[in-house]
This record gives sequence, structure tokens and C-alpha cells, in this order.
Amino acid sequence: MEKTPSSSTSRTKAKAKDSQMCFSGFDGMNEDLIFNVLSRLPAQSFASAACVSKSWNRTCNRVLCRPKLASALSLKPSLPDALKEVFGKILSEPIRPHFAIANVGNGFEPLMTLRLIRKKLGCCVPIIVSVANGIFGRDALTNELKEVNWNDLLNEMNDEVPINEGIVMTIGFLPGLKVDAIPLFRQPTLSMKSAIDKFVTDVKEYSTSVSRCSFPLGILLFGEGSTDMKPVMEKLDHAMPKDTFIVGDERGRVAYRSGNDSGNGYARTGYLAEAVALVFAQDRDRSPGEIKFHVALSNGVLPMGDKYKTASVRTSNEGTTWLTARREGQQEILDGQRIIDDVSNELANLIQFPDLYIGVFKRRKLSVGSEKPRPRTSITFHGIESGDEQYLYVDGVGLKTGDVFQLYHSDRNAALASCTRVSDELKKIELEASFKNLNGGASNATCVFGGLIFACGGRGESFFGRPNVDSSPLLDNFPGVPFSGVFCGGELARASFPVNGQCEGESSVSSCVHVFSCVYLLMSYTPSQ
Amino acid sequence: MSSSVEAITVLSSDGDEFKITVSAAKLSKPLNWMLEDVCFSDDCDEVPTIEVNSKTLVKVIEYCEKHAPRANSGASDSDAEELKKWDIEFMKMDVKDILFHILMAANYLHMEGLYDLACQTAADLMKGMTVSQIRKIFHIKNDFSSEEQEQLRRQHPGCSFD
Repeated sequence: MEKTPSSSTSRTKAKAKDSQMCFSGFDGMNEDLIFNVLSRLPAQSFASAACVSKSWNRTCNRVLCRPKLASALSLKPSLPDALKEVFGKILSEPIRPHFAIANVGNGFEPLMTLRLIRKKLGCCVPIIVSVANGIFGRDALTNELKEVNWNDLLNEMNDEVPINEGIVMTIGFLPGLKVDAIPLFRQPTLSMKSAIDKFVTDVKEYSTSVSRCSFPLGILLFGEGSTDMKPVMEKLDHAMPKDTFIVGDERGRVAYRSGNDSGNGYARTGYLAEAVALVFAQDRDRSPGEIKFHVALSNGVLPMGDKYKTASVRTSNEGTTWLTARREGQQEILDGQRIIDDVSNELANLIQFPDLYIGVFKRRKLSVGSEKPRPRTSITFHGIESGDEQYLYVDGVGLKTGDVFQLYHSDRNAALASCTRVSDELKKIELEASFKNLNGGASNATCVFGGLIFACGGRGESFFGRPNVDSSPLLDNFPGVPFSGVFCGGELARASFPVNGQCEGESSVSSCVHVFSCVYLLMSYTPSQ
Repeated sequence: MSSSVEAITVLSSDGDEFKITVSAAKLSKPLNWMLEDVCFSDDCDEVPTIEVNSKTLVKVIEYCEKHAPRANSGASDSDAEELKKWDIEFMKMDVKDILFHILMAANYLHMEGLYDLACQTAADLMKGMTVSQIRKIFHIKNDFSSEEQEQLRRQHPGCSFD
């Protein structure tokens, strides 16, 4: 609070005279005073205040000169009530939403949710509504951290799918960036491959149209239901430069709306998309400081036993793969039961039987842009559904005869250790930045202003035995920084996956769709000097 | 005047006389300085002037007298609750006329509590208002050109202007 009226410093017994206090309103008032008043306004009144006069407009821009994220969670069973609660919180301070993401339980209809959010935020804001397996974040009313994993209910209640109500909403103000929702459509006449190509082109075109660069800073990707996101991620991974982040939820139910002024010409509202990307691109015109995105991955699986090579592979119509395999270097063909037996031997000491996966290694030459093609190994995970005297049944497709794979199982201690590692990694964001900028004072220091978390639906309280472990890397390092999280059907992130000693000569391989992991996306801001 | 004095007399900018107790004056640094001057000066005839008009000074003194016991001794939580309620009532007065003066006075007299309260009241006053209502109540001239106005409407589709 600025309070330096010149008169107060004088200790003289002044006589009555015309003072500067003779005024009729706020027009001639000291700007710091107006700053103080305007910074107390809720978002909607703040928007009105910015339209009052030129000087108020300038002051508003001063109040809101840094990027900002706001998020809140509500478990109210009625959608309008829940929305009222979260809006009450996230719009209680000055903010101009550049995007909105709502993660809801299956009890909230996505299109209806989308409509209500749009009514509140206006038609220029790109909005994504996605049905998640669980949500976490701070309660809109109590500010208490809440974690709800609806998967836990599913296990208890057998076949019946319970109805889950709840929402966590995040809005962001990112000056210097442009954000829009771009869908992946599949016309009936088109192959999935060409649909994905078109999608990647759309993302690049959008980026080119708003910035000098044909690549965006990053993409938040939300897959729809049964869409296989592996080829989408693979294609994006090839097409985008290394520093473009791509994170998201593989399986939800998504409704979205693109911003009006984007002029991107896509169908504006829809259910029919296979996936939706929220694309963050540099704005051509303004960049008052630098917004950076940071991605970290907490891994939750461990390898076990020998490596295998698939002997026969069949793909079912339901998107599962049936396979037999040989141990590497051996001739004998193993059926599903034999492989499961191997697993049981390896895991004999575990009390709780974990989730099982096969991790399939693929090595191929990749070229990105004008770079020379270089070999790279990637790993793709498939959950093991069951095994019998014929086959091992795994989810997903894309396996070929002769593929090499390794068995993996979920592991609580590995996940905990990995969370600690991520926490240390995140700590460095602010430290390193401030080290580089030793000359810039505190006002120029880099600060983390928000985060999004995508955790595997298998994690959460029932996996760790206590709540909020997945949020801990953020809570420990950045208390008070707004963030929200979802329990997803599959965590998307471009990341290297550690495979010490399992892959000849390589300590890590690339991976885009993860299992039992937790993906962190943090946003930091460095003001311009 | 001796140091055992309990109240001092001050003049408003309109020349009216007001009494303020010593403990109440402690809420404001400038007032406190004046008080010391009066107490330790031999020249007792001169009455210090505060550059605040009478209407506003009445309110400022009312606020000081109410808040003085708590500020000087530190009071219980129930007192704090009671004081909060009192603040709300206090600001319910015909605030539009003198809110601006109170803001300026609180700023000038370095009264953080009152300044905070007045800023919040001004902000609360704006909630739910259209753009032109805000202009009217705060006496602000619209200096946007019609083109700029159009652009603002596009940028802030959620705002009602009229």
C-alpha cells in the first residue's frame, strides 16, 4: 500500500487552506489508490472497470500484468450448484480467462457443462470439458485439498457403474500467449492416419496464424473414449520440436468449444471429435515477459524377469491383442498361462497383487524437420488382461511378430521414490532461474504460478495408503500456487522412460503414453528486465 | 498543556473545531505527531489544522475513537468480531458522498485499517454495476473514442456497458 502524502511529513501546525482534498470523484485520484481498489474486484467487475476510462484501463493492466491460473473444486451433486461454487472462487479475483478446463465426474453431462460455462465466460474463451476418473484440487469454499478417485468406488460396487458428481475447473490468463481448442475429427470416409495428419496440420496452421512460429509452445491433449491415442501421440511426437510439451489424458469423454476470434473454421462445438487439443502458442504481438512450461513424470512401474519376443500376434475387433512369445534367446513358445506363471514367480513376495503390463520396445529411424534420421528406441505399454493355455491377452493394438517386450508391474515404493525425485526436479525450476538472473531483483525473479496434474487412475489414496501423494511434489515446493489434477485413463506426456541396462547401450527410451504414472505440467513466469 | 492531557482540539479544513482523545489520535502517525507538538509546546494557543473537511473528519474521529481501545490494548476475538460488524455498519452511511473523502483522509492520515476498509467498500460498491453506472457513481468521464469503445465491447463480451 502506497501512502506518502506530502502533507503528512510536515509536523507544522498548518492553517486552514484549500487542500488537495477538494475533488468530486475518483477521476483525479492518486493512481495507487485506484490500483488498491481495482485489485480487490472480482473478475467480472474488474472487466467492467477496465472499460470505464483510459486511465482505469491502464491501471487494470497494471493490476493484471502477470500471468495467472485459478482453480477450484466442488463436489456438489447438482451441476449448477457445483459450477456456482467453483466460479465463485476462481472469478473472485481479477482475471481475464484465456482458456478454461473443466474435469467432471460422469454424473455431469459434458455438453450441458460446456453450455453453462460458456454462458458464464462468454463465447471467446476456448473451453474443454472432460469426464475424468477422479479429480483433485482445492475446495472452492474451504480451500482444503481434496482428492477423489472414482475408480475406488468402481471396484467396490462390482458391475454397476456409479454416478459420480464433482468438478475441478481451471482458468488461466496468459498474456503473450494465444490459446485455442483444436479437435481431431475423423470423417467416415477418411482413414485414422489421414485424420491424424490433418489434425497435426491444423495445430501447426493455428500456431503459424497467431505467432511467428509454426510450432506451438505446447499442447494439452484430451482423448475421447475408445480412441487409440498412441498413433496420435507418436505422430505429434515426430512432428513437434523437442521443447513443445504434449501432455494430457488418454481416455475421457470430451466436449469442447473453440474461441470465437480464432477464425480457425472448425466446427465450434462438438462431441464427435476423437480428441481435442488445447494449443498454447506464442502471440505475435505481445510478450511482456516469458512464460515457460515444465513437464515432469513420476513413474510407477518396475520391470521384472527376462525379455520376451512375440511369436504370434492376433488382433481382436475389440482392440485387444492376443499373443504368444519366446524368452529372448530361447526357442520354446510360451502361452499366456506360462507367461503369467513367470510373473507369479517373480512377484511371489508381494502381498498385494499389482497391475501388470508388457512394455514393447520399438526401434526405428526418425527424422524431424530437416534433421538427419537417427535411430531411437521407444517403449509402448499394454495392460495384461489375462492369460490362458493359448494366449496372453493384452489391451491395445499395434504389436507385430518379433517385437521385443518386457514385463512390468505397478509398484508403490517405486512410485513414491519417483514422486520424491520429481519433487527435487521441480524445486530447481525457480532456483536455476534465479541463479541465471542474479542481477534482477526479487521483482524480476522467475516464479511458478500454476500447475496441472494428470495421475493414473490406479494411483491416489488407495494405492499409496494416504491421500495427496500425487500432489505432493507441487504442495511441497509451491504451497499456495493454484493447481488442479485428474485421475486419468492413460497419462500422456513426451518423456524419456528409464530402462537402465534393459536396452543395449541406452539408459532411457522415449515414451508418450504412460501407465501408473503421474504427469506434472508447471507454468512459470519471468518478467522482462 | 501537560502530558496528562486526555484530548486535544483540532481544526478541520473548513475551520470547525473537533476534539479527539489522545488514545484515538494514536491510530494515525500524523495525528500523533500533532499531539506531541501540542503536548510539548509552550505555545498552547495554536490549534492544529487537519486537512480534512468537517463532514469527513467527524467520521474519521468516530472511527478512531471506536478502534482506539483495541488498537492500544489488543482485544479478544469476540471484540474483533464485534468491531467487524461495527465497521460494516459504519460504512453503510451515505457513503457515496463521502467515501472518496474518507479514502483520501485515511491515506493522508496513514490509517491503514480505515484505508483498507474504505478501499474494500469502494470495490464492493462496484460489484454488479454496468460500466456507465460505475462512471456515474465515481464521477469519471468516458474518454474512449467510439472505435475504442467498440473494441472494448468485443474484448469484454461479458460486460454490460449501459
